[in-house]
Amino acid sequence: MIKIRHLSKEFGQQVAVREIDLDIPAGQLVGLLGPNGAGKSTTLKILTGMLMPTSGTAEVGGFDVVKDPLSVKRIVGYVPETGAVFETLTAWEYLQLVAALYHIPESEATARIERFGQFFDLTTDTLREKQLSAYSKGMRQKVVITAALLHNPDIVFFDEPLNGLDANAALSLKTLITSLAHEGKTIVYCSHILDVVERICERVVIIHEGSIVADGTVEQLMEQTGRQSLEHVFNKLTATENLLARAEEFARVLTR
Amino acid sequence: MRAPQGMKNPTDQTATIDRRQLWALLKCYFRLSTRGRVTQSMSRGGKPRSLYFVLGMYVFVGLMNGLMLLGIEMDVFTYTVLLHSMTFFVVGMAVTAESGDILFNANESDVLVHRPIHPRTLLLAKSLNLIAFTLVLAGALNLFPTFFGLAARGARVWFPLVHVISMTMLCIFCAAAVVCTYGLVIKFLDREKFDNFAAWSQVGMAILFIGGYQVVPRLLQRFAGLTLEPYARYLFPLPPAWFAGIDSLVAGELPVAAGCLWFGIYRGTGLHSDWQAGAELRRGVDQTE
Repeated sequence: MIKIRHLSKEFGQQVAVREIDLDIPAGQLVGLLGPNGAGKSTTLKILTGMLMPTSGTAEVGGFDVVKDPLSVKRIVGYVPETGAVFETLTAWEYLQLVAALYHIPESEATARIERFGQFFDLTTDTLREKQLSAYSKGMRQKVVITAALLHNPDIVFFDEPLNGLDANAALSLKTLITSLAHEGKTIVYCSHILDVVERICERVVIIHEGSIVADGTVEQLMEQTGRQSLEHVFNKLTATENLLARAEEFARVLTR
Repeated sequence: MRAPQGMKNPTDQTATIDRRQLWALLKCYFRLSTRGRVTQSMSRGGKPRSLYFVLGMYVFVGLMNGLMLLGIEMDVFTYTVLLHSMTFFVVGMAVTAESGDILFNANESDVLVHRPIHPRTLLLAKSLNLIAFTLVLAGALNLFPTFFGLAARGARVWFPLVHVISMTMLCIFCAAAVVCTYGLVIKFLDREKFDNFAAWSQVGMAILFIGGYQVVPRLLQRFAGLTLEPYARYLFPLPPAWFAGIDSLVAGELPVAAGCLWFGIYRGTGLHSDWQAGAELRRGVDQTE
């Protein structure tokens, strides 16, 4: 479903993604982890046709992201890390725009928007009357997730989807993601919240400084690194040395 | 692999303008324009004014200016130079403020770029919206002056129709000039600096415009009895004069040759700017494909 070969992306002198190779079969729920600036979001943006790679190839659903970006965009859904929307539109106007861009008939779009609204506890009045600028961060994130799933994509990229969601909404979304994977959707879940990734993802890929440093199930990664949890695996593979000792020393200096 | 129901065949490379997407984007951009900086700049207690209020203000300003010009007897060329100048500055500044959100919206990459929209559809939607928004504002500003122009010396009965056409051409030029200026300035300044530059330019132009309206009628009275015709050749660098030339040529008394000259300047410079602006924006949009 997703096939990446020697993929690189450079911004001037800076290398964001370095010679990545990755295969994700259909129906798999993959967690993409990495510290800030590791290249996760850049990789997702290449896979959604938003950025062109500097070298290498990537195929999504059988379509090349460079040669046929529009076909790629038709079959993927993307929840961006920024949670960006057009703030002076109402949620209803925004979602109807998204539906029209995917050629979903208006009556069908209305039914789907209402269904998502019920799922996320957003009333039709709220959706229709309030501009998105008046929404809380969590409410806006629900609209962004709805916009990503409205056209029923085969492949979904989530970049920090739990940002701003309250505990109940986060739980609902985690369940929804797992259910979508069971339905056969391919899901790439990018996050800093390791325990969520540990719980819902069947495979974990860790990126550090633009390269893949680990790839496997949580159990495999723990076995390979000799650590007891994903957090410690992540720490071992990506942190600077003596991180814990340095944190303790810093706290002592601060409270002196 | 299936595409969502109703979508065009992915292999159909010739179908670059998708009408359903174009219409949806036009609706969206027009809503953004009508709820954007122009309405927010007239906000009260943090709440933006409605577009109707803003248009009402433009109609009122146009009415007042029209009455003022009506009170001074002048020929068609002078009348339309002043009228097109007002439209060019007032509408141009409003569109400059607004187009930043439409042409180079910082959120757009995360909102639209991962959707299956051909860059040409996106570009056409932005261009049409900018022209439509310019026309709405210019239409409100020129509503009364268009008919008051019938009282100008030498005006023919078809003056309102001709003025609407020349105003439309001015709006297209204005939108193209804004796009072109944005493209050039944003190359040398970052977005924030450019926004500051645009805001200060607006203040400067507003002061210049108010001052000019006090000074120009007095100068006209002193030098040539309220006509700019003898100075027409000195006005050629000013875009409003090109369009006033069209009004004057078709619905006034200015000699045909002079009118043609202004129209020729429009053809040569105006359309060149339009083409350049379009090419500049298309390059930018194509890079995102």
